[in-house]
Amino acid sequence: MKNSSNNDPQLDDFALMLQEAHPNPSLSEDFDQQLFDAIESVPPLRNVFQQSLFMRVAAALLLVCMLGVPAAAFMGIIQLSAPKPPVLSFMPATTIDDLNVDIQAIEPENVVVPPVDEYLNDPLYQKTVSALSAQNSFRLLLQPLPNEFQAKIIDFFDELSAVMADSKLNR
Amino acid sequence: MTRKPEDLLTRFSQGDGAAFVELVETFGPRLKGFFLRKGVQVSTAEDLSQHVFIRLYKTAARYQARGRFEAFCFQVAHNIFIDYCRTKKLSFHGEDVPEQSDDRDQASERVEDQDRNQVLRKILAEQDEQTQQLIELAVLQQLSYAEVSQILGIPVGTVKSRVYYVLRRMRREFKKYEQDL
Repeated sequence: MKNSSNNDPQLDDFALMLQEAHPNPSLSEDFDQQLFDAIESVPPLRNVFQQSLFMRVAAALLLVCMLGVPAAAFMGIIQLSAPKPPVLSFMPATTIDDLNVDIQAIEPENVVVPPVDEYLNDPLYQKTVSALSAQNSFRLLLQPLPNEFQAKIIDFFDELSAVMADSKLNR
Repeated sequence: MTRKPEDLLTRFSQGDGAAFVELVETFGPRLKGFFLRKGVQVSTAEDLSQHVFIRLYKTAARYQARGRFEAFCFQVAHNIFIDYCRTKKLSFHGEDVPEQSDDRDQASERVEDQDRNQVLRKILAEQDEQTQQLIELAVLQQLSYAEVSQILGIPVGTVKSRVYYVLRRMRREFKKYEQDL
């Protein structure tokens, strides 16, 4: 016996008897054939990839995923470690002269400056301001016209306003 | 010239197909007996033996002879039987009454009912699962205590003491049977 039972010859003899009582059975006749058929039906991994397009695609996808994830993580780490500083730009303010626009300044004849804040709610004052504002707007409209026409049109409207004022008085 | 089984597998991994056939012839009956004594049917025992050989076939390329081939082979067989019991939801006692005497005709079975070997088989069959595993590997398959310890996952000292006490107990039972007869 391989494992001698603590040098006890009686136990060694008993172990031998046990071995003799348990002989190994013989294999069935077709055991080898079945075994080799089973082995042949187990294709090696390389053959599976050679034969099946699906397996190749699946393996390629798996490979891409396996490599892609750490690669993406690595790229993320690189980007995080070296952040780009924000670009500060300065644009100089443009002046009216730079715009090359012909702007003609208008000097209103009457500039109304409210003397004090309480005039803001004075109806008479507001009426005057409105009239002057309308007059200035009107002059601004007429400005592109030649001076002669401007004068005539202004005279016309002056006369018209005078007539309307008279008619109001007569009522 | 006797060749070591581990050499056979190494030779097979190097492309010698005859070595694998020799391995099957040598270990096939031992594996079949191993599984039969676990209490499975003859056909199941042969299927499980084939599973062992298929696994050996697949792992042959990676096999490195670090110890005796017997230990490796019965480690694989032990694992395959555990897997089998899990899939079939069986206990280690297997699926049915052991058919160990299938090669004998029934008439001789009845005659040998009083036979010493029959008594010994009965005594072993009456042991618990762990004891049967221990006797199977250490006594019937003649693996070393260290190899049995590795397969069953118990310390070498425990294996040694258990084998000693189990053999002593079984021998007492055997003597009792002999006296009764």
